[in-house]
Amino acid sequence: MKQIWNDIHGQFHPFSALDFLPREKMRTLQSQRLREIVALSYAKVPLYRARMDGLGVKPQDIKSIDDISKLPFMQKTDLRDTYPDGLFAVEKKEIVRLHASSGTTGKPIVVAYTDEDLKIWDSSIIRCLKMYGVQSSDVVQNCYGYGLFTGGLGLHSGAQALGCTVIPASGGNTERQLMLMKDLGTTVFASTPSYFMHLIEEGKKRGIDFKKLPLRIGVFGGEPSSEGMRKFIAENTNVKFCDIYGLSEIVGPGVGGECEAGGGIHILEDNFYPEIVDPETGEVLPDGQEGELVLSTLTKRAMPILRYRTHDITSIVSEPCPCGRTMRRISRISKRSDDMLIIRGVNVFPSQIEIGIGRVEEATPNFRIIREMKNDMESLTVEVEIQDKYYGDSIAQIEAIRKKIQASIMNIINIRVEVSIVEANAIPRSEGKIKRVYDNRPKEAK
Amino acid sequence: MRITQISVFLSNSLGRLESVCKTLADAAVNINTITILESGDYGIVRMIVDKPSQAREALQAAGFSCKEVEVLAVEVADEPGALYKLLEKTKNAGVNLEYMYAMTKPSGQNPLMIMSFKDIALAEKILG
Ligand SMILES: [Zn+2]
Repeated sequence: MKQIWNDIHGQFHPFSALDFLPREKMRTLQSQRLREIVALSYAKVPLYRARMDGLGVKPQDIKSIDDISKLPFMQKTDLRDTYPDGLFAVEKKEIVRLHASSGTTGKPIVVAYTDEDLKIWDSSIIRCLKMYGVQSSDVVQNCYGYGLFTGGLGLHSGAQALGCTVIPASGGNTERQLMLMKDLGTTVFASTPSYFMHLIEEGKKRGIDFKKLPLRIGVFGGEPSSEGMRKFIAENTNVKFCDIYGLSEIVGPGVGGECEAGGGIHILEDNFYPEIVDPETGEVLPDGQEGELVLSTLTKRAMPILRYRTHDITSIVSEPCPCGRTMRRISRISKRSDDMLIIRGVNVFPSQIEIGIGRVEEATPNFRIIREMKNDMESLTVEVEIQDKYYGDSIAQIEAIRKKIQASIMNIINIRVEVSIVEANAIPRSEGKIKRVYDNRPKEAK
Repeated sequence: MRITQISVFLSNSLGRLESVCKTLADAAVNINTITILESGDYGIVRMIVDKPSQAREALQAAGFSCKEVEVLAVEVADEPGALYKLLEKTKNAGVNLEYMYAMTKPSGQNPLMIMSFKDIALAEKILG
């Protein structure tokens, strides 16, 4: 049965049926699933029981999905503090897979899956891949890291379950990535957008024209994407930019995806329930208003996560989507509440600087932000690479570009930053999540 | 005489110019003359070399942003007023000089001035 469906070159798969559930039916399903997961969490996880008791909330108080706001929030520190298995809600024998975060300091965050959880994860990834138009005939080069990280194995398993040919390339080794891509006829590329941009640049140096390759879809996630990245990829390839949203604490990639309409990311809300809250007060905000995304797993049993503060800043779009899916969307995520820089009293997000740079046609999306102290004042220097043809013979011309970038950034953030034009390839390229901000301030100033 | 200058954009950090020179040395390119224009955190290096296209290819392969730029090499007599006479001609023709630097030549010959003009064709006609 699955095979027959897979051979149809449409966007639909039996799993995709839930994408189109009428809103009332979706709410009924969400309510029923929330009641079950709260009952399980309260019964099996001491942290949930203690927190709910502290708020005077009992599982029987949770009747419909709207009651979710009665539940306590969870923070990343809760996952750390309960290391390694304090949030597991099932017996060890039911757990078939563990993943862990690659945190640089201290203990990692461990996440667990039952066999059923993995099946739901696969189905979530399949639903996302179908939104992008991925077919069983596609060749998927998966460059998310394999191993403890959820990205590699998660996407692998979903793409394979859809019937795609999966190349488990994992991250790194530029030379080999380019070779595999050319020789094996990759049609779908999965990585962070910045890593794909890095490969485009490396390919150019070796005379590889990405427009001549059969590559057609990019499954991009793991870091916020910007207009500049999208523009660069559109100009240099025939790849359709498809956002995949996910985080390991919730499940991994596959929490939501961007449909053909391109107006945001559909959250698979029968599995992962989204709310937007005020990052300061925690108050739930109505659809359409910008705030912090909070997610709850409605179906994951090994390690249920309720009302997790993602720190991603976005808003919920509840207007019907032209693609016909009824799942609500979130706007593209470009800001994280923990990325926010406070410069001389003004809130600045790296993504705003990126937008400013993106408006200057001579600039490239390759930039970094350096924070330092100058004369006891905090100063921000933005280093930018410009397009090759503008590294000319004239200082006047380069100065004009520098001032243009400076003005464009100031237009958005309302404060003056230093802009420095640097050589092509001077900004370190990342093979994973891109690092934008370098803090060179002395310890006592941080 | 019209010749090709190599211009390289460099960040102002330790060892970048050395790295340019090493790249050219490894490519067996001889630098006839070199001048550096600096502006805070970056600079532009201008060079006249014996093999311009090899120089550009080697530098680009090493990751440098560099360009070939057409300039004029003009012989200037080693005597008072020689440069003045030359610049008077270009001024009268309305051809603006963008920049200029001297190139050393073996003894017994007149020095060469390397000159950049927006309208290089016209300047070449005037300066013959
Ligand atoms: Zn849609």
